[in-house]
Amino acid sequence: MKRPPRIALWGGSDEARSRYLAAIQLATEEGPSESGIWNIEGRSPEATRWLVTASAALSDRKPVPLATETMTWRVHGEVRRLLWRGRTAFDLTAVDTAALSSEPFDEPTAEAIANADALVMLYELGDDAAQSREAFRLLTAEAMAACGARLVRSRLPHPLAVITLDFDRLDVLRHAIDGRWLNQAPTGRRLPCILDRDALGLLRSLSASTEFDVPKLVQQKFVDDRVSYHASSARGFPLIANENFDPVRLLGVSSPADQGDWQPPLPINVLEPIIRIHRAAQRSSRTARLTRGRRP
Amino acid sequence: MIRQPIRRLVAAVLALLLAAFANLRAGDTAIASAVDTCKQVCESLKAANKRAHYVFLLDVSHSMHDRQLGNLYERAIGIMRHTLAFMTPEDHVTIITFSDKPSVGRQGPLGDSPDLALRGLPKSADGSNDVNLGLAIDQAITAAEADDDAAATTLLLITDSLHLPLPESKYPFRDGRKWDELRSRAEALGAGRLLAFYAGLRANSDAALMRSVIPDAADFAVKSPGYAQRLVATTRDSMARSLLLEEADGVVSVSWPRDEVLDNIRMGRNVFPVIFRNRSKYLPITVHELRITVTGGKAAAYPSADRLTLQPNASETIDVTLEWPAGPASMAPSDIETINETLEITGRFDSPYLSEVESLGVSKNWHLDDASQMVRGSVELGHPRIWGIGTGLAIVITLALLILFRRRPKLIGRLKAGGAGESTSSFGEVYLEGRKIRVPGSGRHLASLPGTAVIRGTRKPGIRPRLDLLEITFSPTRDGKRRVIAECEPNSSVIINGVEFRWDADIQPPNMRDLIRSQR
Repeated sequence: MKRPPRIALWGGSDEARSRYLAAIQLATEEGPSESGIWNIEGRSPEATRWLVTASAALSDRKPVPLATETMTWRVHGEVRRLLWRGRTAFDLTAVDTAALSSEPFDEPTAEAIANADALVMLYELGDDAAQSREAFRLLTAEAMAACGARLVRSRLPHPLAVITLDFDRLDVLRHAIDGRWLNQAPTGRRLPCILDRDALGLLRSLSASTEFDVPKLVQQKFVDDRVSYHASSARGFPLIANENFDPVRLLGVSSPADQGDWQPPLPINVLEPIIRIHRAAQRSSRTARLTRGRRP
Repeated sequence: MIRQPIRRLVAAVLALLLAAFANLRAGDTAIASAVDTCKQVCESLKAANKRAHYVFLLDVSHSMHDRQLGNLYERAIGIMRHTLAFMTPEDHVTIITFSDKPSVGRQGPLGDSPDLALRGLPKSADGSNDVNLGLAIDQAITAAEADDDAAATTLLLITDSLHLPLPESKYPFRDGRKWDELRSRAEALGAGRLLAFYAGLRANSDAALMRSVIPDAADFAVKSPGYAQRLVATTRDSMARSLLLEEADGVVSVSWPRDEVLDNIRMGRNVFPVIFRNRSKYLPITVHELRITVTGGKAAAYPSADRLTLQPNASETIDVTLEWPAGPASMAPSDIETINETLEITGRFDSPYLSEVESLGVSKNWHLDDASQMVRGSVELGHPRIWGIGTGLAIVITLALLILFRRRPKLIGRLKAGGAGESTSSFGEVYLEGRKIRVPGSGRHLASLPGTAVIRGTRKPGIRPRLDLLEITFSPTRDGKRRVIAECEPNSSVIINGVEFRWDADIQPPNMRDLIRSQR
């Protein structure tokens, strides 16, 4: 039986990765979306239990328990194709990169990165930028060594989604407003959003002044046309009446936690990046199969 | 031995005598029948007023007064008198006496008594010894030519003489060019209408020269009984035959309706009149088993009657029904079925006088003239009108829907815009009007709006355009890049590229008075 693609989730803190995974569970509970009907389940009872606990904690705005490297989740999807509905699935694994420390990674971590079909890299503000940069360089170097001949133009061949997970931070929101990147969902819950085409601009703006210039590093280590940028939020923003978003009211307080009428978290742009990277991985593997079948 | 041949001879003679008698009786019966037939036909054909013309050529040369043979002149007069006795009073009689030259005597209707016709004749044959038969026959032909009303003309030449013309005569011999001309003139009068008889009172007379002019001329055989009656009957026969000869090619002509009718045959039942005209002047004609055939078989035709009786020179009209089942209706926009067939009328001819016609030996060639006629027509089995109307309606409806549903509604209210998260008091504002506005542009601008915006209205489908949502296309840069289209509900706001747009749909633009008051 054909093995589902594997997507490795790395970068950011353990808490950020756990929050992101829990947000995926909440996003799937929203019901069908334009990208189809999606569902996430643990590949082990431990992973399943964690998913239930973590999503409940995120929903209650409590600290999310940390996911471990041994946990794997499978995401199922029912997507509309040209003439019929098709089923698809991929595995999601959180790779513990020890908060991108500068210490050398153990070999299994680099192997996990190298053997993944696609990668999701989380970016958080406030980390030690220098340490994060070093960790990125070391990990990618190890992974490139592990990939060996699979490198493309001396770069990692993986499709990569770089996600700025701090969109719900007020300073990031202010940054998005000032940079004219903030938009609003046209219908339904009028949550603010950053269009994918603007996410790179936001990330550049956020990281340019730090030592961890993510877009520049990613460009050095990954194939440019296989990289996409996204801005996401695991918790979302509070909405006022008519499910509208009021930035004046939100920016008038010191932090979202001070908002008294927070509704349950409404994840923003959490599921869409991994679905997109999954499709990119499928296209990539299909192309690789076709290429292998040809004579040099 | 001797008696046996004598007995046989006597038997043969008796048989011949009996046969001759029987022949005579049969001839008499035939003559009587012919006379009756002619009379009957003429009366029936309403041609009883037709008359014959008898031209007598009486030799008055000196030889007719020969004592040795008896008075031949008186004998000739007797023959004429006997013959005249069988004629009808309406018949014309011309008596031409001749010796070296002809002289026309009496000319006109016979009248009631034959003697009246003979009144002007000379008492005796006092002519010269010279006899010019050519001139005499020439004169007789001239007399026949002059009478156009006679249905038949009979020439009777009574002479005992040889053709002995004077010098410098046109007919110096018994034949020649002038005789040929004479024969041509006789032929021109019409075969069957000109009869000729000759009675040679001497055995060596040239009476038979009449046959040089009229080859069918018969010996008058004045010695046989019934000669006069036979001449008149033969003339009557000729007269009837000449009348019926006109009918021999008698036709019934068919007159069809005008082309506008026959070229516009419609699907289904077509009824049109057809006129049959009997062109015969005397014979009523009946057409039996009247049938109409249609070539091609696309249609069927039948007359309103299968028997038609046509009086002479009269016409009758029957209705002809043409059934054309063009076919079932088609759902196609256009399906034209055409018909291009020939109608032909046939029938069997009959006449109440057919037996009489045949007894006179007249061969008939009756037929229908113009019995065939083309008919044409076309019919539309499709529904071009429905399709046309349907297509027109579809176009109109489509255009109406396009106009109704594509037309943008008029903009109303006020639009404020400013940086998201800032106080709306710092927002710039613009009053909405028209169906589309561009900001900045046309004197409008929104303070603190960094890029360009195009504002239009959207609406729910309906007859009257009602502003439902505001469609804002905003680009944060002047060059139009990073353009985002978003919709804003009434009295609500939307954030596009970091700019918050607030639409106050219920706020009307201030008029000039309010503006002045607010400035005071």
